[in-house]
Formats: sequence, C-alpha cells, structure tokens
Amino acid sequence: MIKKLDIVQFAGINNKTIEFGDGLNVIVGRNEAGKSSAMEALYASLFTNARIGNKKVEDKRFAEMAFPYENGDHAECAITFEAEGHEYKLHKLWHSSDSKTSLEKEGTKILDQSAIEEIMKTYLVYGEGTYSNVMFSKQEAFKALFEDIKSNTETVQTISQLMKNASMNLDGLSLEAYKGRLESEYKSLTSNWDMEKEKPMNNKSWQNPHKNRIGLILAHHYEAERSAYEAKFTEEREKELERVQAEIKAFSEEKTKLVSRLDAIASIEADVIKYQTLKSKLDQIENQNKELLEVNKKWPAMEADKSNADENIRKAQLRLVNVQEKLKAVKSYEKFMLEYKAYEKKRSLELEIDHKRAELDAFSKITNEEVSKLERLEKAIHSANVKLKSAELAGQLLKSNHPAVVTDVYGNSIKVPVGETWTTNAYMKLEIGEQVTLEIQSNQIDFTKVKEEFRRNTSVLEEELIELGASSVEDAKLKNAQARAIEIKLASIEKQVKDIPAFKDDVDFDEKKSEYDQMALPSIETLETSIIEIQNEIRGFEQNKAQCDFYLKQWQSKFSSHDDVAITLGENLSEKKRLTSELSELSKLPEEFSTVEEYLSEIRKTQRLRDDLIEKINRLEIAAERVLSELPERSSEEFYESYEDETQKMNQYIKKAQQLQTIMEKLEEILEQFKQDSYSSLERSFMRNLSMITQNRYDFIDLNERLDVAIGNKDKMLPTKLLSSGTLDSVALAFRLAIIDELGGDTQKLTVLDDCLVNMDEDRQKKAIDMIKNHAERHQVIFVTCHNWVAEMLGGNTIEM
Amino acid sequence: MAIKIFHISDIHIGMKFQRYPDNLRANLIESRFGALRNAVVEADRLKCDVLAITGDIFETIKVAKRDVVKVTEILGAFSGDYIWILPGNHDYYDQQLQLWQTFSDTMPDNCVLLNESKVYSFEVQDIEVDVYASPCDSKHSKVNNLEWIKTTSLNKNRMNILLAHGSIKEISPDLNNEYFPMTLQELGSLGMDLSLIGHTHVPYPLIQETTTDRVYNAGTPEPDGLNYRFDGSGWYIELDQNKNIHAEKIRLGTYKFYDIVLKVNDQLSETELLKPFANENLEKLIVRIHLDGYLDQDHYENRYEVMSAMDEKFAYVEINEMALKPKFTQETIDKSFTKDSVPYALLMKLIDESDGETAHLAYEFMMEVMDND
Ligand SMILES: [Mn+2]
Repeated sequence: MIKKLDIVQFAGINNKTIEFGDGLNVIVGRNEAGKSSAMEALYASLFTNARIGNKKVEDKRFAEMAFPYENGDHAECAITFEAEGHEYKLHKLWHSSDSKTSLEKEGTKILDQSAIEEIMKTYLVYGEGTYSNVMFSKQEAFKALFEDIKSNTETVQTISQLMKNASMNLDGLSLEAYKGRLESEYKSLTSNWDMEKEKPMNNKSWQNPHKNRIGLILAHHYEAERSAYEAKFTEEREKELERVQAEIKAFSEEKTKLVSRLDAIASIEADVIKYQTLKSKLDQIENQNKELLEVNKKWPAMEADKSNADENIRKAQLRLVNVQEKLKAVKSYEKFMLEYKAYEKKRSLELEIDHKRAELDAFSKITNEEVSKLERLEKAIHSANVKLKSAELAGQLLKSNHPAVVTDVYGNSIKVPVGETWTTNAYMKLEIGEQVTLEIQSNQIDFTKVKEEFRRNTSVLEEELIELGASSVEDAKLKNAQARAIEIKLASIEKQVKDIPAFKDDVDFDEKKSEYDQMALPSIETLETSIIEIQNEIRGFEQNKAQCDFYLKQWQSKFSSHDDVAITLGENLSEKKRLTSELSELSKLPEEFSTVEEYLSEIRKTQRLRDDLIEKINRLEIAAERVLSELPERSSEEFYESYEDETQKMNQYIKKAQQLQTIMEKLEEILEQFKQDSYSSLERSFMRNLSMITQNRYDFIDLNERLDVAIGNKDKMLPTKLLSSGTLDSVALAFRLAIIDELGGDTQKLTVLDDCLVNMDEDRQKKAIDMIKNHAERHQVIFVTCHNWVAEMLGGNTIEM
Repeated sequence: MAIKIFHISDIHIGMKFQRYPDNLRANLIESRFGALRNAVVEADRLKCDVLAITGDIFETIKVAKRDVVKVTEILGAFSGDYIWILPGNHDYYDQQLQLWQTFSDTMPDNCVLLNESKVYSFEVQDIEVDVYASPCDSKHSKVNNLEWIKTTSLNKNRMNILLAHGSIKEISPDLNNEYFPMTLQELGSLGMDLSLIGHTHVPYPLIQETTTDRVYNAGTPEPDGLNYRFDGSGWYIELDQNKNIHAEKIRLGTYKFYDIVLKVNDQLSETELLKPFANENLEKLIVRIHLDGYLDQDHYENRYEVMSAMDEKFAYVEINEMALKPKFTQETIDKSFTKDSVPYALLMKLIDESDGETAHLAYEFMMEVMDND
C-alpha cells in the first residue's frame, strides 16, 4: 500500500507531500494543478530507473517531462509504502550522472540496487508492464479496446467471447493490428517467394519475373540471380573474347610470317620474270657465241684439214703405185726362183747320179747268183755241221798228271782239268802232255766224208768270199743289198732328172740369181699389208675430207661465210654485255626455287593462304567486336561481388521471414490456447462488475455456474446495448477492475483511475462509483479527477491539489 | 648511382562500385584517378627515374576512352625518365583493343608499353637495365607468363628487373588457379635483381621498409573494395649499381575499406563502434561492421539509433547485424506487458520455444503497432 509520496522536485511540482490512505483516494484539482505530474511522479518513483541516459528516447522524454522547466537537471521523489507488514521509503534522484536510489526500511537506508529490487518485488509483485498497462493505464485505453471489439461485433456474440476478446487485446496491443503487421511484414519480405522451396513462386525466374508484389527476398533474389547471370554472362564473354583474341593472335602471327615471306619473294616477281626472259636470251646468245667461237676457230682449220686430206690422198696414192710395182717385181722374182730351184735340183740330181755311180763302181759288185752260191755253200756247211753235232762225243779226264787239251773237229782246243767232263761233235783229239795224243772219231756217221764235205765246202766258201771281197756270207749279202739300193736310188734320181722340164738355153740362172740376191726384195706379205694400209689411209683421208666438206657446207649454209661469223660474234658480244648489265640490276630467282614456275606457284599459294588468313582474321575480328560490344562495362568480378552482397541480404531477409513465421505460428498457438482457457474467475469478476452496471439483468452467478450452457444460450447473448456508446465506458471499467481483481496474488492492488466518469450519464456514474467503491474495498484505489463533484460522489480520502 | 623506381599496380580505373550510393560511387570512381595522380606526385617528390605500373591500370578492356585519356594525361605529369606500363589480366594486351590503341596514341613520350614478352633494355642513371616483361594477353590463364624467362639467360652485368602480373600463391589464394598463378619460390628462382609484380590485392612484403626483399607486390594505390584492408600504397625502391636494395612503402590512397567483425557485449555505443578506427580519417573510410554478440535489450532496441549515427561519420558504413542478438528476457516482458496477456504469453513462449532474437522481433512489432495506435 502506498502511504506517501514526497515530491522534492518533479516536473512543475516542488516539495509536495501526498499522503494516501487505504481504499479509495481521490486526487482532485483543476486542470494543470499537477495531478498528472503527481501520478507520473508516483509511477516514476516506483518504476523509473534513477539513472537517466541521454541517448535513449524514453530517457530523454522522461527528462523532458520530469525535470523542472527550463533549467532543471534532475527530479527527486520519495515514496513510502507498506508491504508484507513493513514500511519502506524509496528515494530516487533522477540524474544523468549523479542519480541516486535508496531505500529506507524502518530507518535503515539501503543502497544496494539488487537488494532494493528484491524488496520492491514484495510490493510490486507484477512486472512493470502489468502496472503500466492495467493499474496505471489510462481508462481511455480500455475503452478503445471495447470500441475495437464493437466494430467487430459479429465475431463477439456472447459475453464470454467479449471478455476473451478483450483479454486477448489487452495491453493496448490490437491483435488484429499486430497480426496484420506481422503478416504485412512477412508479405513484404516473402511476397511471391516460396519459403519452403526457397524459390520464387511458380518458379518465375528473374528473366520472367513476377511483375507485382515483389517481396524483399524475391527482389534480392532477383538481384542476386541477375548479378550471377551478369557475372556469368560477362565471364563467358570475357573468356570467349580471350579465345577469339588468342585465335586472332595465332592467325595474325601466321599471317605476318606469310606476309614477310611474300614480301621477300613476291616483291621481286616482275624482276624474276624479266630476269628469266633476259636470261634465256642471254643463254641463247651465249650458246650461239659458243658455236660461233668454235666455228670461227675451226673454219680455217677445217679448210686446212680438207686440203691436207687432199694432199695426203695424193701422196698415199703415189705410195700405193710404188708398192704395187714392187709387188710386181717380187712376183717375177718369185717366178724365177721357182725355175731356179728346178734348175738347182736338176744340177744336184745329176751330181748325185755321178756320185752314186761312183759309189756303185767303188763297190765289189756281188751279184744275186753269187749270193745264192754262197748260200748254198753255207747251207752245205751247216748241214755237215748238223751231222757232226748229231754224233756228239762226251769225255772225262779221269786221271792224268797233265791237263788234257781237247781239240774239236773245227780245230778249236780247250784245256780240261782232271775230273772235268766235256763233249765234242763227232771228233776229238786229246792231247795229254807230250806223250799222249789221241784221236777219236764217231762211227755213227761217215765221219770222213762228212768231214770232207765240211772242209771242202768251207774252203770253197772261203775262196769265194775272198774273191768277192766279202768277209762273210752275211757281208756278201749286205754288200749285195747295198749295191742294189744304190742302183734303185740312181734309177729314181735319173727319173727325177728326166721329169724336170727343160730350161731355156740362154738363161744364166746363176747370174740372174746373184742379181736378184743383190736386190734384197721385200716379201709379198709386207707389200700386200702396205697396200692395204695405204688404201686404208686413203680411205681415212677421204673420210676426213668428207667430214670437212660436211662442216664447211653446213657452216656456209648457216653462216654463209667465215667473215660473217666474225661479224655476228661481234654483234653478239655487245648484246651480251648489254643483257648482262641489265640482268645485274634485276633480282634473281631465289635459290630455294629451281624453276620460275615453282616460284610463281609458291607466290600464288602463299597469297591464297594469306588471303584465307585475312578473311579468317576479319571474321574473328567481327566476332571479337560483337563479343566486345556485348561485354558489359563492369567486370565479372564486380558482378560476382554484387551477387554475394545480394545473396547475403536475401539470406538476412529469409532469416527474418522465418522468425516472423515462428512468431505467427506461436501467436496462433497462444490465441488458440486463450480460446480454450476457461477464464472462469476473471469472467465471474467481469460479470459481477457488469451486473452492477446492468442492474442484474442477467443472472450472472447462475450463468457462471453453468458456463458452458450459458455461452450457447440464446437468451444469454450479448446485449447490443451493452456495447452502446453510453455503456462502453462502464463496460471498459468493469473489465479493467475485473482484470485487476483476478491478476492473482491475494495482496491488495494499486489501481490508478483517471477521470473516467465524466462521459457517463448520471445513472451509469452512480453504478460506476458503486463498482469503484466495491473495488476499493479490496484494493488501494487512487482516483484522479478535476471535478469536485466527482470527488464528492466518490468520497474516500480526498487529496486536493 | 642508384635507380629509383616507384612501383604501383592494380588501379582498376573503371570500376563501377555499384553497391555504393551515387555520390560516394562518383567519389570512389574519381579517387582511383586521384591515387594515380598521387603516385605521380610522390614519384616526382622522391625524384624517381622510373614509374612502374605492373598491370590492371584499367578494370576492363572496355574502359571508356575518356578514362584512358585521363590516365595518360595524369602520367604526362611524371618527370622521370621512364614509365613502364605492363598490361595486366584485367587490361590485357590485344592488338585489336581500342584501349591500348588509345593509350599508345595519347601516352607521354617517356612511357613504354611493355606489351611483349621479351627483354626491354634501358639505361637509367648510367646503369644498364634489362626489363623482363611478362604482360598478360588474356584475362584468365592457368599458367603464368614466366616460362620464356626460364629459358633466357640473364646478363648479370646488367640490372635485371622483372615486371609480371599474376596471383602469387603464398600471398593470396587463387582458388581456381586461373589468374596467371605464380609462386614466390618460382620468382626467386629467376635470379632477378628486382621483381615487380601486380595482381594480388595485398601489398608484399607486409612491412613498411626493407633492404632485403627482391620481390614486390604493389597491391593497389587506392583500395577498391571491402576485401582490401590495407592502405592504398606503392613501393619506392632504390637499387644502386652494386644491386643493393632499399624499399619503402608509400601511402597513396584516399579511401580505406574495413570489413570487420565487432564483438559486442551487452552494450552498443558510438564509442564501441568507433573503437576499431582509431587514428583513421573516418570521412574516408568505407566500413562494413559485422556485429556479433548479445546486447542488453535496451541497447538492442536502440541499436539503429546508434548505428544510424555512424552514417554521417564515415564515408559509408554498413552494419550487418546477422550475428547480433538481444538479451531478451522475461524482465523486459514483465516490464512491458500485463502478466498473462497475449503479448506477454507470446513473448514468453518465443523465449522458451524459439530464441530471444525472434522474441525480440515479435516485441519490436508489438511496440510498433502500439505506437501507431
Ligand atoms: Mn589482376
């Protein structure tokens, strides 16, 4: 219970003490007497922190209101109250730096803020909001609450609904307005934005955007997307441009190479072509000159050669005649030699004949008859001998002092030693020393005859042989044969001689021969070879001559004469000089080419390539130009930055929208809960108060006991009259007082009422006063009015201001 | 004798900065020219012989002709011996492109367009210099343009300087490897006396001054987006005839970007929000702050007031509160609503069954609806 308020300095009030009593207190005073200031001081003393900042609006507002006009820099009050059986005095000095708060508890001063706060809670059991919204509220605020409900009657059909509605809209917060505000805010953020899918509604992208109702999220989303698109667009163009430029660069480099190559080769094209023409002319002249020089040099030689050939032919022919004559001579010699040889042969044969004849003469001429005689003799001898042989005698000297000499029939003797054996033909004479001579003849034959025959024949033979001069029969035979051979030979030679033809008698072969021998003639072969050689020589000379003739004829037909050759040569030399000097000033065919055709085709090819490249580059340059023109003036980096900025902003708004969503959901839950809560005691209080106003037109007690029935009961429908402008003040007051009653806690509650009776008619004023008085029975009420009559009607503790 | 080189890169003239408000966008576009102008002024102040620009002067090959002319006009003010211009991947070289035709037609006489992969020889301060140029000829390339150098033998009697453009793996990842990727090791192996690289939007080395490094990545002279957290800068490099090196990072940029996460605890105040930007000229800062943490309910409630106060302090500020949550408790509910009323019950339910953030959102709308009444 507030007991006393000491205002040291507060707004326009100085050093004023207001004492309050239990129950109803009425502060009365005219306007501007400081009643509301006093109430502000009361409220501030209880709730407003002594420390006044200079930044917060509410602090500034408070200072403006509470500090004395015009130089006041502080306000100061002390409030004395009783709580839980103790009396406290809370002292406050509001100041921006030297603020003071202290609490006296039965003479003891406490400065500790939290201790003070703890103690204050024993009196101020509710939060400040409850006091400011209900206990200290302007009655107008409650009236407004019902005015709002009244404008919305169709939803409020029963008193219970009315009360619930009023309860819900308590605290000056219009739920409809609040919900509307939340929704409009939510809408302003999320309009056409799908919060769940996190996309624009209907997937309408920035390129086909929503045209209306674009919430902040969508706006920033579009902005972000547009920036992203622009960034990407720009980046793509940037890269495309880079690519095209790189291509142009590569082609240009290629082109530069081609152009410099062309510059090198094509610039001399005319020269090269002229060079080629002149060069071929020069070559022609040079070739002609070569020929001319040769011809010039050869012409006299050729003519000399020709006459040489003639001379040679003549000489060779002479030589040929000579050799042919020689040959003739040699041939007659040959013929002579044949005769000569025959002659010589005949002479030698004749000599041989002479010789053979002499030989034959020298020979003992043994005839064939003589040989036959000899052979007969020999044969007879042989036959006698065979007979002798057939009467062989064998002997053996058996014993003798001397060797025996054995002589055979032929007179041959052999010495035979003792013991030796021997044989002889038909006869033997044995002589042993001087004393013994023994003849032995074989009887087997007619030895004597045979011996005689043998002897005679042998002797005849010997005689014959001597006569014939032959040593033996054989010799005689040989000599006979030799003679015969010589005779044959002689005959043959004689025949040969006879075969040799007869010579002319007047020829002296030997003389002629010696003549020839002195001549030393060559052989026929040599001469014949010579002839062939000379003939060949002549043929060769004739060929030379023909060749010379051929050339000379050709030259004549070509150059007409040797003099003309010299003239042409002179002309050519000056032409050559002219051409050479002209050529020296011309560029030659570059070495890399072997022909002008190759050179020209290379030029054409290179030009074509260059032209192709130029066209390509032109096309690319147009493309680059196009891309460049499409390229925004801002770089992709700046667009990406914008994208990030916008996305960040969008996310902020999304977060806010989500919070709003949560708030709205929770609000719905709260409202649902409020609808379902029974409010029984609050309703009872409210109806009790209402009944005072409605003069018990409803049996509220009964109603409340059967609340469920009552709400649905037609008879218990909200009387329209109840919310008429005349009764609205009363109803608002009834509701406020019921709320205070039912706040919970059994302490008496402070209720500060402003001048809420003035708009009521007399009847309602009385009923309201009853209601207030009734309320003051349970609570401390401070009623502020500027009307004395109100104060009088209310009674209670009257405090005049 | 020493060669003095001023090395910058990646100016990206022609960026559109579409996400920023119109007037700031115009300033950001213009500031890129300003950075180039600053580079020329600084290079002249430091009496540099060479201004080396290692690629991406232009954002796109379609950059407006007047921008190209504006660039060559700015370059015309440089009074050193040479300006070496290397085409990067954003402004790659292609003979056909109007960009480089216009550039060549209007560039100052001391400007050399290094559009061929070859050795360019110069004489600077009586020192003979071989510049190994590795320009880009396309926007994307999976391979870098250093291969030709590996097969070329260096003349050690000359000053060998590489100018190349491409992502350096160790400095910043090129996820798709499509921006002429190269490595520090690879660059080191080329044996250059100095390598000036462009593309990677991180200055390298990450120190202010050095006498040992041979590889330099310039970053950009004018920060170009929230992912560039450094000052816009260039390198001032001295190379004496003995090849001793001295390099210094020179600030060039006007604007600076911050993309930071700011952890909050209970309270959110201007001081809290400004803490990361001490010593910075807020008017030239473009800032995105990702708030992360829980705020007391009243701080949370008043967060927009605090945040919107930032708007006028910075050139541009964007506060992301995705990770910012209110400490929304029954206390607030008690303070605001009548016990067991619908809003009271709803908020309690949301705290129990969802989270404080959602409950707070519900609460904010309640307040709004009630204020409107
Ligand atoms: Mn690049």
